Amino acid sequence: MPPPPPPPPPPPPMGDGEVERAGMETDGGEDRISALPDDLLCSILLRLGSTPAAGQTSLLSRRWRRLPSKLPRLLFPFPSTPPCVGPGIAANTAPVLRHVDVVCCDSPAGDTATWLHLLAPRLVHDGVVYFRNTMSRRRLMAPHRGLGLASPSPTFELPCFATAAKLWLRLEFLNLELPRSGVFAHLTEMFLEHVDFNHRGRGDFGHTFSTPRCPLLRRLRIAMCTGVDTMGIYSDSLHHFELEFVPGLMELTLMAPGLRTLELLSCFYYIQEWNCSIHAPDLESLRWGDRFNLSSVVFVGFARLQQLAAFTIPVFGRPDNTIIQEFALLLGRFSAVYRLDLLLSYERANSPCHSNCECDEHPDWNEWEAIVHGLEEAEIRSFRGTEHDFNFVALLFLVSPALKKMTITLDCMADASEESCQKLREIVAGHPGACLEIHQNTSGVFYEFRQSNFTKTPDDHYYDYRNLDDKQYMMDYITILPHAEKLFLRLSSGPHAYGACPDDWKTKHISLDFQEVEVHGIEGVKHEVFPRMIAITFDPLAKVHTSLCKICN
Amino acid sequence: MASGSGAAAAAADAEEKESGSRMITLTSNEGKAFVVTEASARQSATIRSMVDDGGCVDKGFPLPNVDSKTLARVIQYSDEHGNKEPHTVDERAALAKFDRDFIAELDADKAFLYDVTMAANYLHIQGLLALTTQCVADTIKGKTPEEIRTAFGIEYDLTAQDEKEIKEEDTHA
Repeated sequence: MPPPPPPPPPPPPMGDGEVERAGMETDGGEDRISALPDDLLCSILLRLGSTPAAGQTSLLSRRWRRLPSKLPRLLFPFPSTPPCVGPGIAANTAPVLRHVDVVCCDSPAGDTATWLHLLAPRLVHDGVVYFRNTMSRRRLMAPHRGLGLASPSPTFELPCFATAAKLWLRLEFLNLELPRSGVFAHLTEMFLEHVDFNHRGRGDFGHTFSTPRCPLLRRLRIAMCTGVDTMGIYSDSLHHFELEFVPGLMELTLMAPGLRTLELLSCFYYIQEWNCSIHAPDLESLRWGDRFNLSSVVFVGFARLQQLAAFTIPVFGRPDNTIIQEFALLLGRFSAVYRLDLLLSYERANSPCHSNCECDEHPDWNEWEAIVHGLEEAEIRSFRGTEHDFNFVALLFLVSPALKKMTITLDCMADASEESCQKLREIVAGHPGACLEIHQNTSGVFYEFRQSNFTKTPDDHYYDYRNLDDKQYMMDYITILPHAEKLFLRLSSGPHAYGACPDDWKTKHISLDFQEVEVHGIEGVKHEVFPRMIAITFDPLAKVHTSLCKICN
Repeated sequence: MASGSGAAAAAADAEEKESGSRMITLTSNEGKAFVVTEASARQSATIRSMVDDGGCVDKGFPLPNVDSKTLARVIQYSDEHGNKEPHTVDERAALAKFDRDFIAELDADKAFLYDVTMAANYLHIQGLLALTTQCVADTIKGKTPEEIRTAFGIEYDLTAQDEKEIKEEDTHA
């Protein structure tokens, strides 16, 4: 039985002589809080959730004078300014720092480098660092922002965090260089989001994450990063690897005998020549949301794979009509699949249907039959109840003779009338032995991409697709890639399920410096004005391809 | 249970332990005994580790640092959190409401709040400690140092020299 700690001694906060209480107006009466032991006061200060706020309490009295600087956790919540983070770290007198969480706004490279270099040696073994930079709307909309040639943002080198267990960085495209030497000896988790690595043509980028430099790394996420063309990771420890939207990547080599989960999304869509070689004998879960063909992708030893999730399938095709073939190829790579989650996007690619719409005549239906032939159970989410939706259900039954159960969840904005349900029941009734379940989604949440593991900040408004009144923010989202030379835009306006477009969403807030713009899928109608706006907004030298458009007007 | 020698007795013991129906006596520093369920007592990591180490469950646990009034209040919290396992949304909401009411009552009596905080710290009841320290932190939040001093009755005893030093250190200002 541990001996109970002795009651804390009365505090010695006396200045000189007796403390005079007479005439003091207080809500709390006698000062009991200052009598709490240091560890409790520190817990209280930590719960302020902000190192600067805790620092203010050093002005209270002598008892409190040194407490804030002893806290082992540094918290600089949104929106902190970089000039206060460095001194905050310098002023801290705790023997080591366990946890540092910084959210800055418009942090410049120089200041960021300064405090990161101050921090690295102070971190305890297995400490954690979260740093997130955000971009203010003011800066986002500033003219010539991100114009790489005119004002290149300076590159800074990440210090080697030799003791950290977790390192999360989301830099809003500051130019970061990985440390050229040093071992991240304790690092188990590293997330890099929105970073411009500026590493193109400079050799292998993956060395830093490989076993010699990161011997314990289990989880790695590299998402929305630019400036990487070759990545070779050779890791004995890696367990979970996410590579998401790294445009420009041409070569990926992954040798990871311990890898269990791999998620690869949208890296190779926009280039011609690419190669991907993955050796992961223990892989259990694969999420493949990228192009696939047998000449570019080599999988070695996927014998233990249990779960496969793949890209969103546009049921009614895309302009290039390749995705279904690639998907069939990917599936063909595995001898047996016991469970497969399909995310079907069965809207037509572009604008609302016209009276003579032909989009239910699916061009790839042969491919489809091969995929869904043995299908026994199907679940459809976000069923909106358009004519196409009903047709799709009917088609699915037609080509899947084994289908026994269909579960349909109505979209939160769908018409949930008895009539719709009856219509579905009629379709299913034609197939004896099949049963149907209909659910209603009342939560108001529909499919949402995971954008980030970081906690949200108020500056995240432009990442939030659910904010349907603010469609212009989706354009803002494009503008966060500063050095993109070419904009490839595929319009997908859908059947206006969410109400009419706000009038001003096309014209506001677009200030980019693309050299080349390519817009697919314009049918004119109401949105014809849209590409014109882009052409006007862009550099007069911009080339505008509208190869697949049939402008009606 | 006292002489759990046979396998059957041990099994029964284990079963009883499992179901949390065993009772445990906690004694305040004023000698007052409080009988609580084991599930309630296990909210305290201090008591939990003593029970798991095969400690003197039958003799009960004297708590020389906790007075009766404070202990009664702490037990009120542990009973609510230990004896019930919220499964449904409604049950979780009810527990959250209990916490809110519990802390609102304590907040009105700051001296007692510190007693409960000290007891929660001593007994390692994490949930209660989080609740009470957050409550104090919320009182500090958004106030100037002068307002904080007034709210807590803190005596200002910094010398001019101290203040000068703090100002020099404080580059956030």
